[in-house]
Amino acid sequence: MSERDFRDVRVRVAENRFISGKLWFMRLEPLGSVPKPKAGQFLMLEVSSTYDPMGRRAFAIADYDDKSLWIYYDVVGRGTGLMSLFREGKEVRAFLPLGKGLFNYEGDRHLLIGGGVGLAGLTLLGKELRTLGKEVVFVYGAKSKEHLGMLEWLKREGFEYILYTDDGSVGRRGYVVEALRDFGKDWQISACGPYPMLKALYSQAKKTGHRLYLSLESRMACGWGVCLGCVIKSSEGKFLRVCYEGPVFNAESVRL
Amino acid sequence: MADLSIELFGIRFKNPVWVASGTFGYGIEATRIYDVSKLGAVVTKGISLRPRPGNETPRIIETPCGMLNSIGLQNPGVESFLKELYPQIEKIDTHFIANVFGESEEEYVEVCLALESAHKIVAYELNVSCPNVKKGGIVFGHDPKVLGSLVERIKAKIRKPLLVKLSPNVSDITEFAKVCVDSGADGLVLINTLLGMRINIRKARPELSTKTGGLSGPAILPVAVRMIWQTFERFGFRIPIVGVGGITTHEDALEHIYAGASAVQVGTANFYEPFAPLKVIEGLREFMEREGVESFSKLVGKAHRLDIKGDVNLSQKTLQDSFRKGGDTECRP
Repeated sequence: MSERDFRDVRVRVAENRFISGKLWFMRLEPLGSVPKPKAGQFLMLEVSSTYDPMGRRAFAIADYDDKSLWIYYDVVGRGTGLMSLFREGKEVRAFLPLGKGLFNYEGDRHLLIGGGVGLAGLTLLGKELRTLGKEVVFVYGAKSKEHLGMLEWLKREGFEYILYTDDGSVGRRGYVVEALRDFGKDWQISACGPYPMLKALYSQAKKTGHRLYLSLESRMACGWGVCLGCVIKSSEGKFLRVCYEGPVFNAESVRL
Repeated sequence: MADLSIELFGIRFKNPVWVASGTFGYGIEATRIYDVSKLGAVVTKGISLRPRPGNETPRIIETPCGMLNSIGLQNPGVESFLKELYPQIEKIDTHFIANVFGESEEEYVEVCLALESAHKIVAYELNVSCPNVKKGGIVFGHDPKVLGSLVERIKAKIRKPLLVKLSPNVSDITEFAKVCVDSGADGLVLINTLLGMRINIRKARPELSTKTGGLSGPAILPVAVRMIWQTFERFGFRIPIVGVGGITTHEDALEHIYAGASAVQVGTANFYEPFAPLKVIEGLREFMEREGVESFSKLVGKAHRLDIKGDVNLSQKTLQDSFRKGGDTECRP
């Protein structure tokens, strides 16, 4: 019998605040014991105690402290809309830690590329790599300045970073994919963000010869491997579960 | 402690709470959440003769109090199931029921035959109601004659009990239930998903890759309860009914049971409430203790008592006898 490492725990909302753009930040205090999350893992958060909406929502565990787990979320629909109304002290259920954190830890220099709220899928990785003594640079891109709300985290943690915005309102004007030109092949790339961004990175990394790992987002019903809703095609054409085999994949092993 | 154990088609189950096909994989992932042997039974994800890749994405979309899915019976095929997955489920101390799918009568028979010697598989659940595949499945579930012939043919070849999971996307489900009873099915599973559709108005196109999908979740509870009610009203205890559709809590399960279900399956709730099946088991146990019900079978079909002519307080023995004999208590007034 395998270890019971998936926990469904009550969590208390310790902080829930708007940052900028569509981005919100929530700190959740588990009221039971939870295994220490690894980079790339996520949780499924109950957003309503009624059945409407019914499903839980998947969020990368962006960071944690002694008492709480941190998530960043964009308010994009009814579920996240309800979450933005959570008051401090509210208790909901969270199922965690889910997914395998199979990032690439090889090599000494790591470029972590996040698009929008996708950066939350890479923050723990940055900390883990730094603990291992590796050189870490974050590349963070979005439409415009107000969509780079996780900058507060990068600054507080003291990471080196490069910013890109579509409109040039802050950082470099352009797309994060351009960063690959400025970093040699000895830089390992991990990325998380919207699919068009990941696709662009994939074709660019092919040209430049960079090793690329992706943390994927997908529509999920269960988060623990049984609904088969979140699948992505492997390079051999078989469907893999983003929630269970992933969400982190070597870019060579999947078809975006 | 209240006795939740039941006997159906000659098999003893720890309790009447099972997990539904397609919502629990093959029971392996769930061992990371809780002790799967606490469940009455695990109904496997659909198994076909050959591997099936499943449908393109998007495969799921949320709906009010439910969801649509169109997975397309993605599964590794029966051979690979037996070689790679079956050894892992052998360690789980509860019954498994194989959900079996085929594109032809012959394929259904072959899958069942391949599973005959797998002792953990105690019965088959015939999938004739998946709305998301082009060939097979629902073709058998939407024509009573075709269904009758399939059930008869499989029954003639196998030793294990055969349950038939019926489609709710028909005008009179009891006609399909009748065909199953007449063809020698050992049990009915009511209901599979309801055919539905959603359109993404931003993109002005269907949300799912296959356009339509199967609706499940709390939204379908009343449809399941109604269909169980109608089927029980017509056949009573002549054939056991396993209720599935919209069950999250033991109260939901009781609606199915009072309508005539002898066992229930928790389905979509596994996605948003991973502990739902265990909570239903505990909830039923507490309910029975609180209400002084010694035996679960006393609850089955209870809401029909005013409609049933004759003995309304059937004893457990009577009920079990009627199952064993194939039933003789036609309950239609």
